[in-house]
Amino acid sequence: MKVVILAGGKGTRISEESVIKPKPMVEIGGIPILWHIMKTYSDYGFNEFVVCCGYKGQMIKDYFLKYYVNSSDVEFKLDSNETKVIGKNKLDWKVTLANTGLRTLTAGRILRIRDYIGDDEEFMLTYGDGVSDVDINALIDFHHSHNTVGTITTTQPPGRFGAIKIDEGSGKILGFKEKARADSAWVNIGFMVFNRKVFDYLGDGSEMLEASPFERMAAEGELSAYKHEGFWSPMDTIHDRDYLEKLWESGDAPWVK
Amino acid sequence: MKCIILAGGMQSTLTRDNESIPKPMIDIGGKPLIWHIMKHFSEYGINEFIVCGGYKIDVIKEYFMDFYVYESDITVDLSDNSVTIHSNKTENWRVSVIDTGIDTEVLGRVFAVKDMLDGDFIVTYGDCISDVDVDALVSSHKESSAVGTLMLTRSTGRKKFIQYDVGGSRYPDEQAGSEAWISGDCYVFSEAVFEYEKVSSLDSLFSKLHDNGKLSMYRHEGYWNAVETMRDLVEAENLWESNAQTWIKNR
Repeated sequence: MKVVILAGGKGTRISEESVIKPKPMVEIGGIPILWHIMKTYSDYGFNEFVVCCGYKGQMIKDYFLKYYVNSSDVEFKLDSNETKVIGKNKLDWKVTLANTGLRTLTAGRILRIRDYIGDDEEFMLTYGDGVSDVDINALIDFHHSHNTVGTITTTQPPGRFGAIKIDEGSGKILGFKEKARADSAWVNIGFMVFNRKVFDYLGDGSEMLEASPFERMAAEGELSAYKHEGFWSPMDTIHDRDYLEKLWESGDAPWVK
Repeated sequence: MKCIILAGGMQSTLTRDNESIPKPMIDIGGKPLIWHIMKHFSEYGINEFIVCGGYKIDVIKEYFMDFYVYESDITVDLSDNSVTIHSNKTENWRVSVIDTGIDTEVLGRVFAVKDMLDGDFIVTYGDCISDVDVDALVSSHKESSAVGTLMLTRSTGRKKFIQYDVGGSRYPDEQAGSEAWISGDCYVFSEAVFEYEKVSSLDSLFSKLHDNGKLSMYRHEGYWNAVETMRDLVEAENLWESNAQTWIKNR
């Protein structure tokens, strides 16, 4: 099954980095978050990727075009301009990089990569700016057993603020709860699985996937939610980046098996 | 007909990145300014470009070197480094990138690529976009029997022409006229221009041509933008994003 990664949006939030990089190229431990996401899938044996490029897509193409040489030991013959790779590259990923437009909304990006799904009955889809330790095999089993057009992975993100329990009568504090996770809403974190019927819900591609395409699927009972209790982090702010960087450096990054 | 694009001496700080780039490489809607210029000319059948580079010429070379791959969807197989090109949306342009130095005067850059030219040719600055009717510009040159035709354009941006009656006098006076025309930094030349090789600058070339009755003017009333300030850039970007860019008809 192929894995489609949305990597075309403008990285506006991590100001220091995103001015020069598309968001999926923001690095954790010197490696783009896009690679980390792919590694999660590849740990489960999924090695074929379709990356929907847009904003500064050249940078993503460059990364993969040079990956083979950059990740290997090499010998350059300067008189003949030959490059010889010494030893073998460990990854056997096939990465398709598709230009899906600068301002195209997500439904449109998926329509534009339709040809690269080929005749496959299903494909996976995720965002290029979030890492997780979702059990991909369990997710796919869940999707099959629920038999809907789509399954999205959901989680309750840890709250940002500690909660306080207050006695309504006296106004006195009864107790503190640290960053209560169970209190927060279930959110879409990507790591989706779709039957190819999803293409029928995308209209002319002029919308966000998460807008009416998902609403229509939900209304028809064709969208399931896989509840993920484990790790998930977006790469939205500089704090997220520092946090992910720290996890990676600890040698115990949950998103890599 | 070939088109020379002057891209050698211009450094731009008009970038949202940290690194300075040659001005023609300023990004407008995901494509460098020089692409916009070429696309405009190519819509009039001009597909041969000579880029006179200098300052950070490698940035320009790399752009065109990777153009074919960047414009296409590709698959990279990381196990053997093979690349498959799927959809090829490239252009049928022939682009020569010639190092003409950093401090060279404009005319020196043109003379430096003399051997690559045949017949009439266009010279345009790599930092101006316009929707000039290239066919009309070229035929006006041919009909004039001039050696050089200078494209004129309306002053843009904040430089507005003013006219007031103050204390019974008119400012500026009547002789100044009411039209403000400036150089649009785009020219058509005949090969005979190379007879003026001893002339030291573009300005003196034009005054020589003028004295010899060999200078012609073409008035361009439409859109013209020399992308010099953030304001100019934002204007071009907004037009591009709202699909209202007049300098390219078919995106």
